[in-house]
Amino acid sequence: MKAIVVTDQAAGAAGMKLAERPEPQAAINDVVVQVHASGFVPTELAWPPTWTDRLDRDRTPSIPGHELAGVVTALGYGTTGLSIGQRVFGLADWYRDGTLAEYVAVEARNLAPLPGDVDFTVGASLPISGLTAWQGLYQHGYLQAGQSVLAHGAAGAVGTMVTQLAREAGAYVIGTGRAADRQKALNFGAHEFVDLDNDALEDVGGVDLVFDVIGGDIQKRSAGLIRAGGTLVSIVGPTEARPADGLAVDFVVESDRAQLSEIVQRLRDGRLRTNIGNIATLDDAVTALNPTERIKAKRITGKPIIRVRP
Amino acid sequence: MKAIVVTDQAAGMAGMKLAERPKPQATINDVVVQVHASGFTWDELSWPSTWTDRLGRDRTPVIPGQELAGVVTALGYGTTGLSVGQRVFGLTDSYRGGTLAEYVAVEARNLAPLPGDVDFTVGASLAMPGLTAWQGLFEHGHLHAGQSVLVHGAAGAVGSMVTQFAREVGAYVIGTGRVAHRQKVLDFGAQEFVDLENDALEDVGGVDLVFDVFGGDIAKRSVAVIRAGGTLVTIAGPTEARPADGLTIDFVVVSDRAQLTEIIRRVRDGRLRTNIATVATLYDAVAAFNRTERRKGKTIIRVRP
Repeated sequence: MKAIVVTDQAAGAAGMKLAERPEPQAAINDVVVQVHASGFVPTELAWPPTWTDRLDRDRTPSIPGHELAGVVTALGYGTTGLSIGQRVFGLADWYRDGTLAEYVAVEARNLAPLPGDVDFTVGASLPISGLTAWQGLYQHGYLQAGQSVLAHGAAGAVGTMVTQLAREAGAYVIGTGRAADRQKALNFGAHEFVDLDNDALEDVGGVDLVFDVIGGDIQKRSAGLIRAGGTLVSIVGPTEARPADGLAVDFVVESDRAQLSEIVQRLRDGRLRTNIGNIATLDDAVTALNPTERIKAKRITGKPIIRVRP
Repeated sequence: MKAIVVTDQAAGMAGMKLAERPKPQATINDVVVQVHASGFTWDELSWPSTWTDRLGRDRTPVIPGQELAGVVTALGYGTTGLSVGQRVFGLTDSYRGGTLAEYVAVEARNLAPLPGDVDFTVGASLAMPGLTAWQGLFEHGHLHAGQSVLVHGAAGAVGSMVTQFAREVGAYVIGTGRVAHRQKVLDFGAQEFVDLENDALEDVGGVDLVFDVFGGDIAKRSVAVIRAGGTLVTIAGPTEARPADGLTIDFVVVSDRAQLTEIIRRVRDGRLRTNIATVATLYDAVAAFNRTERRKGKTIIRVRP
């Protein structure tokens, strides 16, 4: 099968190559999925599990990409809950070969059914951003109606999900980003927007939850805004900052079938919009996923999706 | 750390050795658990996942054991939901195993909190048979009150859990096994017992669900007693046996925190009894597993006294 492979960590995204790889086999409780659409996170090539397995052994050549939408073509020994021919979407294991390929083997519990009226491209754009927002707001942040949320990077893939889910839960949402992101953040439902380059973050006043995707100085300054009993939730690794009277939680997203189903249901109801940037074919993926100065200048803030099957 | 290791698939359980191994590291979303008690399933050494990883690569020397109860000693990058010092129990990934050791690295989502009043030995005995029974009856068999269930091997680790869960939801339970196990099966709550060597399975009449742990001829004969719309659920692998008007489902158990929590609550309430045959130390583990007589119930290794 065709796949994007990486073999050299130092080469970064420039080291991606379209190559021929053997089709994966379904292990116990796996399914094999024919990938129709794949999502890739630009920082993936810096993550240890892209390069080594859980025993720290080299696993190159490795196939990046962890989000997928597609059709089940095989079941592993003992696999239940999904059927051959079923449309599915979800998140592949960080330590296994990924979704920038024609086929991928994934534990069935990491996938959920994708309803027939949701496009594969949309399905592949939801897992990381949707599950990250869901888990950060509800499992770790215990968000409730009437609370206020500071959503950093509110025009990005994760931030737009955070904004929409927090609004739906009845929270007051303050989005942040660069000046150019203002309208997009407001369109996704933020009540207010803070331009991180020009506005004073400290003017926001108190919030109950900070959803951090930036880290560093922004994270530290944000922690100071958190009310007693509030929470700093971060997806950029262990936090240095901690609210004076509250919790700091850093987490890595995990796949969860029930949560994926909640997310896709909201999408069908029109309560959630996805945030897709470029869409490219697998043949064009290497170019599409290597951001040139031209693309960077255009500031495409949505998620790049590779449409593996046209 | 000390661990039981196997390196030679052909040697079977005789190939188990107590050895010194490096302590495992917590990967992303893992915890490291100091193992207090470990459960081992008899046919584990015949499973492909014991010997190779998901890419089919040799993973020997392997530490077997998939059930555990213990205390969290480290969190991996990004791990949430469990804390250092917390008592936990659960089921590892079958491609990682590793609970017959002083420490094991496990995905946090495969574990649940173990309440302070439940012994580690009990915790380690519940994960595999408890989840297997739960998933077979409720997720795959869709069992409900008023239905009848034929439970094979009802005196065994899995069968005794199946019997108790099925009784609790209001099903009529017919247990099977060898004649020597009749009283034990009835004690776990079966309303009837079928001696597989001397009674006619076909005399059972119609049942809604067969929970099979044997496969082969028993599975084939059992489908004849399944009513229209009923289900054969099996953990003995893919089978040709299929009810005339019903479903066959074979499955391998998957760990699930919410289900582990349901199971442990029932133990605390006195609604569920565990089925432990033998408890041995890690030093005695190899001898305990290589005993010739077959015992009904789990063999648990108490890693920390």
